[in-house]
Amino acid sequence: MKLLPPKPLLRFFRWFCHPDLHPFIEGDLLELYKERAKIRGKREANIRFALDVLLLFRPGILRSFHQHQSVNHTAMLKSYFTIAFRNLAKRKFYAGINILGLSIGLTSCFLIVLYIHHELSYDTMHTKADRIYRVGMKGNIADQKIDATVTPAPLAVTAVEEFPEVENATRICHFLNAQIIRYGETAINEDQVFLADSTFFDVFSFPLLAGDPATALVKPNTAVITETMAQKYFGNEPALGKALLVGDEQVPHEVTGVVKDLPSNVHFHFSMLRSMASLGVGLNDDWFEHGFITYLLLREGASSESLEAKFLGLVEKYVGPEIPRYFGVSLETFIQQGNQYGYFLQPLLDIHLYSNLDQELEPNSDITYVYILGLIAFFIILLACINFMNLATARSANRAKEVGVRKTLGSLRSSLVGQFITESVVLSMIATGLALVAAYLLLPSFGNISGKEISGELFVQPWFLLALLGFTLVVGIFAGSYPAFYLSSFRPVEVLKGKLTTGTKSSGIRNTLVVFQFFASITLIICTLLVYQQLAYARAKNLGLTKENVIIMYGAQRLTDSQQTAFKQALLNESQVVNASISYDIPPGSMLRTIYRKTSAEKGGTLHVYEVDYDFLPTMQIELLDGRNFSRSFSTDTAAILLNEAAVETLGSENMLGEEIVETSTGRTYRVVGIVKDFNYESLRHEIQPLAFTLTTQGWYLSARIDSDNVSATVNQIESLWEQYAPDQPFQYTFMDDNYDALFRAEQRLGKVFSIFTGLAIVVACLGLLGLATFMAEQRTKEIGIRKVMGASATNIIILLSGDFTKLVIIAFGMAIPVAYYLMQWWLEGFAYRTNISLWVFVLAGVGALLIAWLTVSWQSIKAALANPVDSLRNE
Amino acid sequence: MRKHQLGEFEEVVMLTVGVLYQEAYGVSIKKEIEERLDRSVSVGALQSALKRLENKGYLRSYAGEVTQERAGRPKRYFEITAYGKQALEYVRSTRNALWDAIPKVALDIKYLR
Repeated sequence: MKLLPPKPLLRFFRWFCHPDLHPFIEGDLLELYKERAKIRGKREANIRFALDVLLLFRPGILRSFHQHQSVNHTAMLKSYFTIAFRNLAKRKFYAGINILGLSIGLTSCFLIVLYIHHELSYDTMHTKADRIYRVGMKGNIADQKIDATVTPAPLAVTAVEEFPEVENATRICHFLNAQIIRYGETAINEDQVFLADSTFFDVFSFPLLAGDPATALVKPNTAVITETMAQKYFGNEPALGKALLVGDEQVPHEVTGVVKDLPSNVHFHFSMLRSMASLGVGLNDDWFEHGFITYLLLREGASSESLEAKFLGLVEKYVGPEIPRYFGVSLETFIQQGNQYGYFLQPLLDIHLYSNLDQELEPNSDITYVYILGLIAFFIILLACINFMNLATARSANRAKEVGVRKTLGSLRSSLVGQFITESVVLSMIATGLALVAAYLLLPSFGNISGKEISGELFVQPWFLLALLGFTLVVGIFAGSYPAFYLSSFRPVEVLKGKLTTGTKSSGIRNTLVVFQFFASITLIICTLLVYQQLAYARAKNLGLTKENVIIMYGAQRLTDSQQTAFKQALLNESQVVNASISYDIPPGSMLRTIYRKTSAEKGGTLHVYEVDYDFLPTMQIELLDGRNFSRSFSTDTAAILLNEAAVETLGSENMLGEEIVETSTGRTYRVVGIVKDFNYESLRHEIQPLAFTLTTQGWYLSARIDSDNVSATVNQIESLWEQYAPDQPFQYTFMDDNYDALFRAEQRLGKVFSIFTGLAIVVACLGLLGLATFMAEQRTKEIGIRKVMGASATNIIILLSGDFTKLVIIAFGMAIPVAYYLMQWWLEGFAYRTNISLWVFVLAGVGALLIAWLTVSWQSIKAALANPVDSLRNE
Repeated sequence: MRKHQLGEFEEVVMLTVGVLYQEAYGVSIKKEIEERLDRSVSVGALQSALKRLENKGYLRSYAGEVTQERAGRPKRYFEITAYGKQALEYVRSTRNALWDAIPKVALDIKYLR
């Protein structure tokens, strides 16, 4: 039996014992231990041993930790840094490539981190943010799924009164059309005007610069405006107490508060809040009219799940009685028919990244994009680190002799590791410094591209700087670890004898890393190309209407009926104007949704409704499939309706033409006179929804199709007409194709951001390749010399040198294809109308990567191939 | 100024080293003291005393043979130096002088108790 004392104690003893004494004392201890174990058993011996070890922990026996090491350390560290700087200075090319690659990687990483930080910070400015929930409405009515932000007006008050969990609630209501706000001479069309309950500032914590948040929105005809808006209307005069004239009726609203300008990271932006009491809509008690966004402030510790569960009873109690009025059946039958209706809670903090409901106040982002960007940042950093490792291991052969000499002179492996790590930490420090400056300078332009106002505030936060320092160290150590451990493992005898070649082992690892770099780059190239292809596809897709050359003028409701008609006629008289129309709705977008059913049928369906005039279809060039357009020659057309193909399908009949359908809420009946071809009036992410057209002769929008040449002159002409027919009204217009493009802004931004970082990743990968190619050419100088002497041509040599890399790029390409394919298929699944993943994208990416690789390598290989062999072979 | 400084335990250790003569190393010294004086000695106390004595120049040490039961660790043997012997003698003579100087009476009182 082997009798040995407990290992940890022994190790502890070895650690603290003075090295001169330790073998002898350990011997004594072991001898005693064995003897005791024999006489009194192992347990007793163990205890005695522990006691002895503890009692040995005393001044005479302890080794000195302090003096020795501190002296050694400073000197050693100093020497590390000196050597590091000398090495960098000696090898400027490698150092440059390394630093450049790392700083590009780090800059990208910083920008992405700032972006992600910004995305995650939405709505965190509210002190009670974690207790604020938005109520959403979800339903499934007549086989149409609805998930919307809008809720009925009485919901907020009822929730506060009936549920103990709810501490407070506030509603906002957005005007779908802009409002003209006037003060003295100034008249501006403001589109960020909301109605808000008096409790608005109890729930949200927008800071007020002037006015009392508790009373600001209590009285009718009062308003809170932003700093910028106050500046716009009142200049430097105090805004409080002044009256702004709101809307066409020019109702004076007293300014009772000025709120600090909203940061970009809140999920909705207002320029003006009118008190809810200013209009009667807030008192509406219809539980089936949705127009309000309801926010609930829950009590501390209240559970949102339990509250959500109680909504079911709320629906039964209040919405139930309304159902027969809208659907002609009781709530029970309504549900039995497969319909659903209910409310749910969304945490305020989740709105920006997780919510994608109908009628969002502003387009939200998506957590997936945050993940994708994070992944890209990670990859770029990884690529930069790989470069670093690659170059350092490649250079190892050159430094092998140095390592050999150091080891012979008594350098410990640990101090060699220390030296190499120090070198890479110095490099990464320099790179971080450069990257910080670059990120700071690039921040504004990055903000433009990504469409966010990202502040560099993060850069001065102490925790960020600390994290940065830690990160730099980690990158330095990580990037330097492989060369450090690899180089320090060289055996001095072999190295000094010159045995060490560029070992196959290390070149294998280098090749793997190069393959990985190109794999990542090619994947990114393919993804970027496909994002752009999808965008181009979406833009070029036949929408079912001609979106080009249509000018849309806003604010027609401010013209009297006769003014509208006269203006429209004047437009049509212009030679440049092909057609003109007045409507309440304009594609893209839809505001009204109502339930219709065939008079003869039990069940109906939800249709979007466009209220348009006689000329809408020809102006938009929407194709009529069957029947006819609204016509002045039929006086009965006020009760006529046009349906699109999707609507025909929803209402469930083969041949709808001539059928009578009824609007369930009002009981009005319409005769179907025409079927129009489906056209896209929403983002291509969605399938085309059922749509109906009803006739009107007035509207909010005036649209005109104009000649494609000399557009600006035409616009000027139209503007002067507008001034003639609508004096004092601001002329506001957009082009319809711009509005359609806006639907793809998120994807466009993603495309841009993608392409930028893809470009950077490729640059980083190429820098690495350049370094490697230089090194390889250097290593093979003699070989190339001999080959040339033996008669190889320059072309042969170039092919030889480029061939190695070509193989690697091709392997990487093969790996990238499936990965990119699956990634993009997953992304494209989010679109109802999507482009095919075509072969040429892959070919282009592969050939592109290969070309870039060749270009990078060619400079070095041509230089090597053209060199005079005499120079390389002269000295042996 | 005192010529030689020797604590009680140090003196015991030195004397024991003398007793053991060429067999004096950690464990044997410890056992010898424990046996003769009937007191327990910790390895720590012993080793630090030995180190002190060696630093003062009273003892010197040399590495001994490697044995099985010590798992290959060498023994460290101690012996008294000439200076150490002088110190011991000095201590002894001062003690003796002190003993001799005690008046009989002072000692007798003790017996009366």
